[in-house]
Amino acid sequence: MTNDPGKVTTRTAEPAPIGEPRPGGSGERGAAETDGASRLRAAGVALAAAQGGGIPKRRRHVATALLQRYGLLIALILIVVVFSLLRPNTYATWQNFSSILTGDAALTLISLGIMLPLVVQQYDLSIGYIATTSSLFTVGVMSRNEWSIGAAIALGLFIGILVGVVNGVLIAFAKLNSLVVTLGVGSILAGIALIYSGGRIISGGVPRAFTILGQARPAGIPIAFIYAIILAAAVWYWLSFRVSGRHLYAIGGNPDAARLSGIPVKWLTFLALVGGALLASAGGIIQAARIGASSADSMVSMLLPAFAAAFLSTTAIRPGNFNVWGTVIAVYVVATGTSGMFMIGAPTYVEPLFNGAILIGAIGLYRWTMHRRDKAAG
Amino acid sequence: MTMTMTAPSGAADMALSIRGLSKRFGGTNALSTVDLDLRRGTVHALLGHNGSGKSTLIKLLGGYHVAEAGSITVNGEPMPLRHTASDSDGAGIRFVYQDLGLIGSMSVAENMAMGVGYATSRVGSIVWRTQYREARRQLRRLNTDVDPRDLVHDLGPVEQTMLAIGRALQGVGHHRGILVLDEPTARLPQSEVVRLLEIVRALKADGVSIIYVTHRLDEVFEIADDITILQAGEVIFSGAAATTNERQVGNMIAGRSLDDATPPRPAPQPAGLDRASTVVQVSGLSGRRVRSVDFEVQRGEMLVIIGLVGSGRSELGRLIFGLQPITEGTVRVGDAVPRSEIDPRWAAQQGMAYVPQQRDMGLVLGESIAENLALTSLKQFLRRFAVRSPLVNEMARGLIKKLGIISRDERQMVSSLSGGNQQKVALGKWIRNDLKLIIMDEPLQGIDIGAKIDILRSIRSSVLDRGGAAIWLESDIEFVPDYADRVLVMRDGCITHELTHKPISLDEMMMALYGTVHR
Repeated sequence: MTNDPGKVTTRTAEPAPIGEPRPGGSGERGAAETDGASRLRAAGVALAAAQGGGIPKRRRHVATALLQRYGLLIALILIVVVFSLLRPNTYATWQNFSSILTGDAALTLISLGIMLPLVVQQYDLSIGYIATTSSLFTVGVMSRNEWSIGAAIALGLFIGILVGVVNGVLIAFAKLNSLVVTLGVGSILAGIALIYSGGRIISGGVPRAFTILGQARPAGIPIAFIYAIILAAAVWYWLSFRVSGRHLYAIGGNPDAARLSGIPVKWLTFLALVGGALLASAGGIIQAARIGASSADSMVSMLLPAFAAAFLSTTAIRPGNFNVWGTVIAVYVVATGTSGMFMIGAPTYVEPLFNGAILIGAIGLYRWTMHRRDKAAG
Repeated sequence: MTMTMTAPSGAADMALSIRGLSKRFGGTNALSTVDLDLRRGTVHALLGHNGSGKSTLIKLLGGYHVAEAGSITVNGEPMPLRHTASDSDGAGIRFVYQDLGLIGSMSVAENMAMGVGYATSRVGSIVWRTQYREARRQLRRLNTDVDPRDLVHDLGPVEQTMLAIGRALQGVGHHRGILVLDEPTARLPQSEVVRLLEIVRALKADGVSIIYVTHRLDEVFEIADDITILQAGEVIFSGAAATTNERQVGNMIAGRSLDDATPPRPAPQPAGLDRASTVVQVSGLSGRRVRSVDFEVQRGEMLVIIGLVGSGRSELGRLIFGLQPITEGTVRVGDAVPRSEIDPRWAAQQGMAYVPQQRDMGLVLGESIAENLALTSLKQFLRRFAVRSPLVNEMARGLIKKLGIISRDERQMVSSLSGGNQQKVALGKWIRNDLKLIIMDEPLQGIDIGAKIDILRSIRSSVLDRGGAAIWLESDIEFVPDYADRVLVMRDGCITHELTHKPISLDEMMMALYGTVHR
């Protein structure tokens, strides 16, 4: 694993004269053409160049903006490259990638389910419980009561909507604090899930067709991943191209200004909470279909990485704003990182440590992005 | 790095002496070779457009920025350019910013303690009795008997300002204290300004040297001894207030002739407008602080409602736009059925608009100009299932040009604009063809004179001349005569006077506002 440090480091050593644009490609473009092993270093150079160096201000500004927008994607590529080089025989296999894609489809949806209320400055801590309850009842009614697949899925989604409506009414209309409300609602759901499951894993009696819905691989692509991407695209379309979706950002930015502009703040806050809950229950059902079983705590632990992914999204694609593709990329940054660490033999306790560190790092980066943005604003 | 070593002559009687102070931000000269002498025990007005360098100068004094060149001498002693906030605090320079920095939910005494710490016993527990006594003593110096136990949000705006001043001056002898007041009257209604000016005079008589930043020229000539005017980071005037006058100073700040500021007179309106041209009719409207108000607004009319704080002026606007509940009476928009249940969404759908007094209530500061301008009209840019951003941007560019919003482009964040330009955005988001009535609550507060004129002209050209109407709620009558078509005066929740004959005189308005009410 050798590389040529001289090749890269010389790029920082020759500052361009201030006020004159650099001829030809900028430093970071050149760096990107070097071989894979030195990419990490190259990114460091790009960062250094973006932060100072002798690059003219405007260009530096553009470079920083680009780096910030795609930094998370670069991180994702770096993680994959590094682990692929370290474990070429196990990590860099289609089997491993497709297992990551499948395994984290549910996390993607739960992260989007958390992100949606965050856009309007509301926290949904019940999201993991919503996913769990939906998955549990979807599996349960098929296993115990021989419901049809369609009816069971409808029930799972209905549970999501129902909980979302309860959260939404209490938060958007009754103006209760979202942290406290969803903490309470989450606890109630946990209780219901325990009653229903009796603390046991529910499995068996699930129609084969249901698990095929979760395990199929059309054209070799895991179907769970396809569901996640389709739903993510739907949320992205709502937030970017629908009037009500774009108004969510206005509400998050300044609820007073939104209200004074005639935007239905309460109603849209309600919708964001219901939409988030619905996404989470979809995540729960996909997970159930993938595994063919469910239990009362199956997805509760996803809350933390989901929060991390949502907050990481604010550092990418649309810096300073919670956004869909940033969240999706962030989910896979977390997932590829965790998977890679297991492959190089890290013990299981690394995962919670890693998740916690990522979450704190994410909100740290979020603050830093906002700070930079405010500073740039003058 | 060059330093001017020559001490200014007569530096001894100067509280603060600044020589050749310069500061660059990136490529722009925020401040270039600025001189300023603050004589001890005087008030020195620091004037200039938004973005002229006033804030930079203050921040250099406070140690938030570091100057590239120049010298600062405080009470005869040089202060290093690279000084910290605690250095300038130690030298006796104290600051009261526009937002005061008070915590509303805490008591007066606790707010006082935020500056210098609590009075504590040997083991570190707070001795409240001493704390309250000390706070009371400090406030007495300002001739106020505010109870140190009162919560700050229960105090009036002047008392709050007073508290902030009292807190700032703790621990500095008045004779060597230098107080920087950054637009202390911007958040005060006209009636309260008088009281604040009294306080400033009292401080001055007590030996405090004051740098007074403001946009209100009438105040300047009431209390300032000296005036310094900045423009684009340079001093364009410096001298005794007695050597100049309001008109000259106004011209210098605006950088243009004030004659130019008089609006093109609107075409005289036909006498006896017919009923059909009534845009909004308010009948027997009552609510909090408003009692049975009747009036109507005509197409193309600028109706100014003046009233002091507490007169119900702001509340009247809020009632019409549905921001507070109507207890009695109705609002009729156009030919629609009169309503007594209004919410902002309905009001906006009827073609009404509202520009709130607090600018940040009308704007999403963290979003771009284009997003803000589209807040009320996003639906118009929906084409086949999708909002088209290019259309939004095109609209924004048009409005930026039309309203004279000074900005890099339509994607610039609103938080990075100056106050005047922010206000133009807050107004601009409502500008559209079917706008029937725009309600503005003190739209000129805290912005420079050029922006004030731009805004009033935009209302004329983009609203009134297109058949819309405007209700302008105001406590400061300075610009009213030139731009109003009709003036209503509000006192104690009622309309007491109607001034229709032009020209509307300032004296007449003053009489109506302050004089005895004849009923």
